[in-house]
Amino acid sequence: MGDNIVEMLQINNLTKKFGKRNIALDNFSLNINKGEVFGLLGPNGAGKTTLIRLLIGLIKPTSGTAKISYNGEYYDIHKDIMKIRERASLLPQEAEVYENLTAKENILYYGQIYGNMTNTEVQARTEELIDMIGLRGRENDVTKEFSGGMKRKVLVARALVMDPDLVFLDEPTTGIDILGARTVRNVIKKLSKELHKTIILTTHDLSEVGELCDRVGILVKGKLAAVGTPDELEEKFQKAGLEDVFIGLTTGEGVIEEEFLAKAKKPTLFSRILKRR
Amino acid sequence: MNVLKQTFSLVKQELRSASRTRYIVISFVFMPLLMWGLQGGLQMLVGFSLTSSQAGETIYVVNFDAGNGTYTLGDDFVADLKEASLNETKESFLFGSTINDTRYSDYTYSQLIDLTKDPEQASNVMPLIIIPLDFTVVFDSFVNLTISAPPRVELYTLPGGILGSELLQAGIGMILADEPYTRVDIKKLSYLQANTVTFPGEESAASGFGVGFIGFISVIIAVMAPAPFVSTSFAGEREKKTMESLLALPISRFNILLGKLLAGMVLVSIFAVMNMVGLLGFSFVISLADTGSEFNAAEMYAIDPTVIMLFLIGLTMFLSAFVSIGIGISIASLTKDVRSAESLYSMVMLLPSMIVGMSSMFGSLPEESFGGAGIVLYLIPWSHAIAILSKGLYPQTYASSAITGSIPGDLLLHLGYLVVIILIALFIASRVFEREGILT
Repeated sequence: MGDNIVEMLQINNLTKKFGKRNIALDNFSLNINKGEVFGLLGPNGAGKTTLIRLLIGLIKPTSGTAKISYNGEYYDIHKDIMKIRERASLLPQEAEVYENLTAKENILYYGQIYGNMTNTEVQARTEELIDMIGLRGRENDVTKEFSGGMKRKVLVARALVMDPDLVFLDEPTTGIDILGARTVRNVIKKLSKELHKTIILTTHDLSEVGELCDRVGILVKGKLAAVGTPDELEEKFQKAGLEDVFIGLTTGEGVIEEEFLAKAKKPTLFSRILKRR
Repeated sequence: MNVLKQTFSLVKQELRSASRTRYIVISFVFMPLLMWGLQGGLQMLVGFSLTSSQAGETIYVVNFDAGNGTYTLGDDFVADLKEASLNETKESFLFGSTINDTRYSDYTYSQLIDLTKDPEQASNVMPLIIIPLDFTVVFDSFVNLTISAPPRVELYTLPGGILGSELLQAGIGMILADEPYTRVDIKKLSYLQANTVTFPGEESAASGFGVGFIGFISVIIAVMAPAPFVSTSFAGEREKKTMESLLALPISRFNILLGKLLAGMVLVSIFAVMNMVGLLGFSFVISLADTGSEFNAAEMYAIDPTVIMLFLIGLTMFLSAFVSIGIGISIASLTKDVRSAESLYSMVMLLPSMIVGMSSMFGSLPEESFGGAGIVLYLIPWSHAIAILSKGLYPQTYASSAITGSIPGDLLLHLGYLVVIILIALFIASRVFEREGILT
């Protein structure tokens, strides 16, 4: 990434509880650098989507904070969420297109909502994205007729219409065919390598992680179990591949990360009494 | 960030989406035309199928205004009733009936009322026309502008006899449309009012709250038309998984809600205009029943679509539909799919709207019903829309029972209530829409 490493995202002890017992995110802390592609791994219900929703302001944290930096200014998710959203975009896991609009209309609509471009700029940007994402020839077709992969391409284009600095992609290639997934990955690479966008990506596809991500974080039950490059994690956990690291952390098998174990399993009064006996 | 531009973009997208959704187009554009046209066709059929519903019927008349040697207006009226029942050339709805003005001539007013309330005797005494003691005096005073309350005859009919009572009332109205009852330039039944009692013991101030079918039709379509829009626009976004992406944009939830509401207002305005067009269509369809004779179905059911009437119809439909949208947003925001939203919407909205609709067709003004307790009906917002329609179209008919003492005051009261309800509904809708749970 070069010598000029700038922190873009600072997350400090972010916690989210739903109700009294459901701790979706537990004292999550992480820093992400500008231009980095950061992969978030974790089993279903680990808190990946919750984290992204907190950072984009769809839900409010129970405690903790996060700050996002644009052009040297830091914006707090508690106070400056609209400012954050002006420069960050989200492609949710279960997003869908507006089926009664054409591909072009879907993208134009979001460009107009962002409001920081003129109509001409939005039109130009839309045309650029149509070419980038491979929608040329189908841009004036109603998206109801599109395949799942085509719809996902429209969604990716829609998420990029305002040229964001920070992009949250929640399982961007889930449910689409190999060609469509390849296209989306190529777009992510271009955003990262050529355009130096910061991308936070959640996925279940470990090959995708290896191909795209600079660093990986593994979430287990709302806690950040491990963070590092894929090679660092393999070395740290003495596993042959990222998959084994992931399985080890999520199932507890062969885990040698004492620090994580100590944090994950705080002794209760009952267990302390039992130990004394 | 240009909030106006963002909101405008949202409105445009909602309207574009609505225009491509057939159910919304049907609801807001075609349903009013269909309903008014159907109503016109139905009433035209009724008019064609009935030449005289009173044929063979005995109508009892008690004339307390009898002159007993001196000719009175009450005597004149009884004579006109008899002539209408006997003279075919009059083409009256009373033709073929028997006017009996002797059977109960010895009864006092209270005795007659008691008979109408007695379930075992009611069918023996009704239909009954009572001409009050001071009929001539009140008529002369009213014409001379020394009093403001118009003279009235009382008409008592059996419960359930809708068509019968309506044609009987129409038959009486035909007589009242002639001299000397129209010495002053008046419309039929506007000054000389027929009190129609459809349930024993219940009196009404006027011939129906809500101008009969118009009120019923207006309420029902104003409540049901917005259902596809609110369901699609709110629950539909959750069902189709477009909500999360929308909420992640740099636009507040309030502005998103506002944009959808503004789009709803545009649709409701179109709806109001289509109702005005529908009313014109209704008048046209009814006019097809005009047989050319002096009294026929067209004469009976025709509405003269004046500019004021069209405006009032449009305003009533706009406000009624907007109240429905305001309430419907909260309902739709609580559900996760369009089908559930529409089911819940129907469950919540149909009952009160049917109550108002049926009351408007058969009942009296709420403030006059059940000793004034009927005013509780005004808790239902659409009753105010109907009141605006009724009091705006026939101010003279309802002036004597005005809540605030004047028709303009009442119109402002009803309008104000609707606006308050709309604001409360929107406030609740905004709270519901702000929930985190709307994402899950």
